[in-house]
Amino acid sequence: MGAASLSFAAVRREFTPLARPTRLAKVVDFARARRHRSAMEDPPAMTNARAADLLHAVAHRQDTAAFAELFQFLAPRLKGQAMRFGWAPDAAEELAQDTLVAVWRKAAHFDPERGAAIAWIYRINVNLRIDRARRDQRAAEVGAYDAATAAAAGVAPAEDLATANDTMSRAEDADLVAAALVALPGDQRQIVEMSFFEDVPHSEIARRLAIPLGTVKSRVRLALRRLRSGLEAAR
Amino acid sequence: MNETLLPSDEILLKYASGALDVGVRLLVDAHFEKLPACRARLDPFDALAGEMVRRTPTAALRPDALSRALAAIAAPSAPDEPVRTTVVDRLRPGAWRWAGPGARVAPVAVSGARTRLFLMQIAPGRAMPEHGHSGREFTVVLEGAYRDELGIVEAGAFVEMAPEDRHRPVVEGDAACVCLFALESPIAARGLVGVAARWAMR
Repeated sequence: MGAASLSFAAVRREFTPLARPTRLAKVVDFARARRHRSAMEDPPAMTNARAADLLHAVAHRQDTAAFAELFQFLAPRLKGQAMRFGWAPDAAEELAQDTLVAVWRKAAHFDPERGAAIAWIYRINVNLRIDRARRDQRAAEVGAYDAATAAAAGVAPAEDLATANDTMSRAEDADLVAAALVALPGDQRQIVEMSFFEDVPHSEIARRLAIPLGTVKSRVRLALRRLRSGLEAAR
Repeated sequence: MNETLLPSDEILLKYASGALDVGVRLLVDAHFEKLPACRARLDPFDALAGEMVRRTPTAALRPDALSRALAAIAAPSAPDEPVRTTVVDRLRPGAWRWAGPGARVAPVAVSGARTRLFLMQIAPGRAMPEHGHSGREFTVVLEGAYRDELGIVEAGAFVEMAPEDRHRPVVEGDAACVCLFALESPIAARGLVGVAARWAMR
């Protein structure tokens, strides 16, 4: 196990400095993705303020150049994100495409006073992702559950979008979170990322990291409390 | 409301990221419907999720990706159909079964869920049936209230029980108590096999 985990760690350092992939396949996908751009080392190019301006241009002027700028920054990241969540590259790309097309149609519902632009777009992405996964699953099932539930979380209809906006964080939260995330100790950040990308129980995280279950639980609690209290203290 | 009767930070993080099991997600949605002010607890995690996207390594798109997107936005689109019903109204419970004196339970099918969901209804003054489980159990109180070691648990509460936790809730007040709960145990076994297989292949 020693040699295997050493080389695994090396792969991880090289390709995903911010996060620890869980399967070799994911590492390979990420290696492919990263060949085209070394994103983690660069500061993220598009600010939430810029994204909000572009959404405004899309909503009020049907500005396709603004849409193209949003697309070119976000679509490759949303695709990379979906692959990180275990989606095949083609399906991940379609999801990213459909998310941006939905952004074009819903842009007028975005309220910059109430939330960060990229967080708003990500919510659309999450709801599409869940809806789609559920639909794929349902094809193989009888007596299934109503797919409209995904929309209830706040995306599809205009009425629901107003509610979704109510619940969004204020735009400046995103900058505070960026600072809080970077300031987290490495071991806490690692567990936040594992919790972000996978619905795995603490016992499995403990097993993967070869640390006691109690340590996992306390790191999760510490990290999340830190992220949250950083935000709330700033209010 | 007592923090132990609300979704944990970990649950909120996974809700915001989209990693949360869709069955548990449905419970969280029901909790937000009952207690709309609790949605604000998602704020930091939504912001975190947006930041994670900004920092995600890119995956190369097909060469024609942008032109396909531009063609899609130029095409006329059907207007979205508004969804007016609540998460709870859209539940499709199966047949109710007797589950002890004054208690009945119905399975709720949720496509894609790794948890098994059930609706449970317990008559006033009755205790919930004792049940064992090897994984976590999540509960949202939809109507009525119950009392256990935590005190009185009212409509809207979201309770997460670890496998080792045991409690014996008794319905409080004059109304029946209706709960929606999600059990992760049967799939946890499959998950462990998956973990073992992953470890063996490293």
